[in-house]
Amino acid sequence: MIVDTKVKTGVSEIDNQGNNFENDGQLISNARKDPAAFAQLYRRHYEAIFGYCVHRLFERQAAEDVTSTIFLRAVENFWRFSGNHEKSFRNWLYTIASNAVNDHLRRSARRRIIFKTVLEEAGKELCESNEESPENLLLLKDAMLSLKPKYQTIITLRFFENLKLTEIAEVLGKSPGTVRSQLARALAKLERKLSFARREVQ
Amino acid sequence: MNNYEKEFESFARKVNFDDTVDIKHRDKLEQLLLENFASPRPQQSKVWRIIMKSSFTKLAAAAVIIIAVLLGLHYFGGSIDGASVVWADIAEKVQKIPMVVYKMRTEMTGLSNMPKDKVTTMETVVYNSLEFGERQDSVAEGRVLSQNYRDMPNKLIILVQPLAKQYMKMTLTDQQVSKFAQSNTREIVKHYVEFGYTKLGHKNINGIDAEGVEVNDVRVLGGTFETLKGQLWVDAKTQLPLLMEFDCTADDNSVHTKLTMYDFKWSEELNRSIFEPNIPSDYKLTVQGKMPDMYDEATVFTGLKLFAQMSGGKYPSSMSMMTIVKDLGQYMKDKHAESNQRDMMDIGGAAMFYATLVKEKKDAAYYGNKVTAADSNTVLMRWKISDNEYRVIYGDLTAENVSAERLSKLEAAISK
Repeated sequence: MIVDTKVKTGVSEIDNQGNNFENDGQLISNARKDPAAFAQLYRRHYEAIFGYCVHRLFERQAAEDVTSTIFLRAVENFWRFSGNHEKSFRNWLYTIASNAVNDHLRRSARRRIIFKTVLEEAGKELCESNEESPENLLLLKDAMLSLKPKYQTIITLRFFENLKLTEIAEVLGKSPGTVRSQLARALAKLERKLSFARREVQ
Repeated sequence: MNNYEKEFESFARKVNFDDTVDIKHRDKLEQLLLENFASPRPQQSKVWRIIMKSSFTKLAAAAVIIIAVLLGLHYFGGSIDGASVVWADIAEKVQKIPMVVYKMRTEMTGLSNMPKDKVTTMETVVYNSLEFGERQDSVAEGRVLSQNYRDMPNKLIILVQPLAKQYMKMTLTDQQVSKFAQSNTREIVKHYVEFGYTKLGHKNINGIDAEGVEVNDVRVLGGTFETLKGQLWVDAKTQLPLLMEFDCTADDNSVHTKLTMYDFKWSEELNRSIFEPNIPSDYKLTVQGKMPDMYDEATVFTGLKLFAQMSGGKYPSSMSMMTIVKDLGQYMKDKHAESNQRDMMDIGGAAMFYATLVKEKKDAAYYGNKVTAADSNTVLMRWKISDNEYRVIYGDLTAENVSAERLSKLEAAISK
């Protein structure tokens, strides 16, 4: 198994998620020809991408499946990636991830109708308990999945993956201004959904 | 950030997602990615899985891995005599550089049970530190075959085999640790100078003016092969190695190996963590114990005995490591290589012992191509222990010390 390793070159950068992209340029360069280096890169980003998938899909199993799809797409298309920093690699992964999650949601839209009944039953049980988080999870899930995928993407990247607007803009290939206005619209929609859902629960 | 953004941020923090990473999924996906790394074609991994089901390929992979482990013990050197000042200075300079990273391509043909012209290729990334030891990651067909750690601070050799989800852990004696401290690529550079070389002049390598030397002495790689031609090219400006190439044969030229060491980074600063194995908990420990001791006569008895047991009384036709690997292939067709790694390590140990004798110029000779376990009074191996005395191992693996005159008569009987 590949171990987590770091090669120092004196270049160090800590992003807003606390990731230390030490020696990222060298690692990206090595990963283009060396599977072991690519595996190292993969390990450094697995958790973030898996987390993003869970935050978008609310289902562990589906998140693992989509994470697999994302990284397989990444390894197949790595030659297309023109960046030379790990941060741009991470943003590139988020781009693939957003597309893969949206694909998954589209494919499973019909199935979700079936699941909804099951979830509602599960929700009742969870709401009967006094734990706040599971309740919030269900509220959030319901509200998020009712939004358009592009809004789900922006909300998740901003509030769960803690990306800056400029970084989201890079992931989505849009201008920061467009992202800001879409974020405002997404939040307004979310506010309505969550307020409505809360009233229903109460 | 407006009020609702703040409110939502606070709400989001309270949501408890089940987002803890499942290590098993992560590791499984990693293997799948490595499988798909070399080629995006979906057939690639399928083909490799089929290849890996072949018992021979398992053997070849295991053999190559074990050779890599054992080779590390070979590169112990002596003084640099007779070299021109410039080349001796290069060897000395390289000895003092604390860390180096380079790549090594191994291309082999003529392995047992493989098509004659089939080239088995392996790419290895080598990380070497004078203080922490060495790590070698070997990849074939886009998959990590092995990670070989020479963990000097803990006196350990650890060989991780991700495909089989297993690992070996061998302890080193203080003497072995001390030899390892001198045993690395730097030592090969030293051997170029030590064993006599011819100058090749200058050539341009990737835009860099390089100066080269050539050697033709099998001891440069610790007696792993029967013939060897090596070229070392040094950056004329920095006086540091740029490229090393070896063209080697074994088993009467039937096994051919080309080694290319390239992409040297002599000024790399490596974190200690790179030399520390991180073995997943579900990996099985298959071999544990001491590394064969190349100075202990018992090593050669153990190795030869095991080989004879596997082959029905025959011995390796020569004591070069590659010949032994090929000969083993003949006897292990139907066995799983993984289950015999300890045996292979011990058999390799015999080759190391012999290589040590050759390297130390102890007038060693070996007659495995003529002698079997049934030949109780026939010399199988011998080496000089004093001016007029030799140590002799017979075909039945008994041993005694004999005079040079007596040895001469014994050896005359072999050729009859």
